[in-house]
Amino acid sequence: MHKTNHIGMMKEEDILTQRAKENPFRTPEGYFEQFDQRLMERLPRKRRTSWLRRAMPYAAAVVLVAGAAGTLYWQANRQQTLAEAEAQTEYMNEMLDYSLVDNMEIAEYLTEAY
Amino acid sequence: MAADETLLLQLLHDDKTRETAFSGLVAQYKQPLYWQIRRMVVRHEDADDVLQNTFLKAWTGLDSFRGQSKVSTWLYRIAYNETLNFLERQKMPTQSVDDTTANFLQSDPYFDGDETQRQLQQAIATLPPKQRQVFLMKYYEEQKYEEMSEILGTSVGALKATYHFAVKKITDFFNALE
Repeated sequence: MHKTNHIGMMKEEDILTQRAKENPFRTPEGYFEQFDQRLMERLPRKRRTSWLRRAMPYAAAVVLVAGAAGTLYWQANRQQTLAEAEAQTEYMNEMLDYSLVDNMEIAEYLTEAY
Repeated sequence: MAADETLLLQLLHDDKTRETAFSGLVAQYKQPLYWQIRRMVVRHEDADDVLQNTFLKAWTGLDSFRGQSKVSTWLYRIAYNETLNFLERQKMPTQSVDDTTANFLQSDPYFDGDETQRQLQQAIATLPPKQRQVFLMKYYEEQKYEEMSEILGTSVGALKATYHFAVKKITDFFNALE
């Protein structure tokens, strides 16, 4: 039976007593003893990776850089070759103009019909 | 940060010692965390679920925990958030919370309380979750307001006011029973 004051109202100290503070809950037998193992089995582990797998990103980066460098080198080389060929053609045309030889004469010379 | 906390954090962040250090944490905090959760959710099976989720969250969040607070405070905060999430999912709009709790405690094999304790649990169940947590931490666990403030992220003044309101509601609940 709860205690009440003179106007029949219960106060904090009548309700929140030492007895009320005692833990009324229980756990199943052995709950805390088994908890750790149950939990540790559920923990997601980080996947162990081989050295080959760990090296893959670096290998990919090396291949990319080498590919890009190769492409740049090939393009630069090609441009240089084209520029050289163009310069050579221009030089030849100039030489032909100076030597007053036309294309017909060159053709005859080449076919030894001259 | 205290030296032992720094060492603990190092052990928890090192792949070689992580699991052993974490299992030490589980052994040390499973019981206080369980009781904090159990008083909130009442049912043992629910408390078990929330406790496991708490440790799983802690385990997966180890890398992002950089020692901003004590490890224990961090664990209590995760447990608190997990509990609130659980209660949010469990909301039963058709029946009042105190009736549900009263019915459940009548038949719960893991509740040993007498009539006053059952009524007190019923009264506690009527409190909104955050107010309930404040009341339980102060009344049952006798935690200092400063510690509670760190875990719950609420000012000491607000916590004192919340506890006062909670006690008032519980007193009113008992007086309404008379």
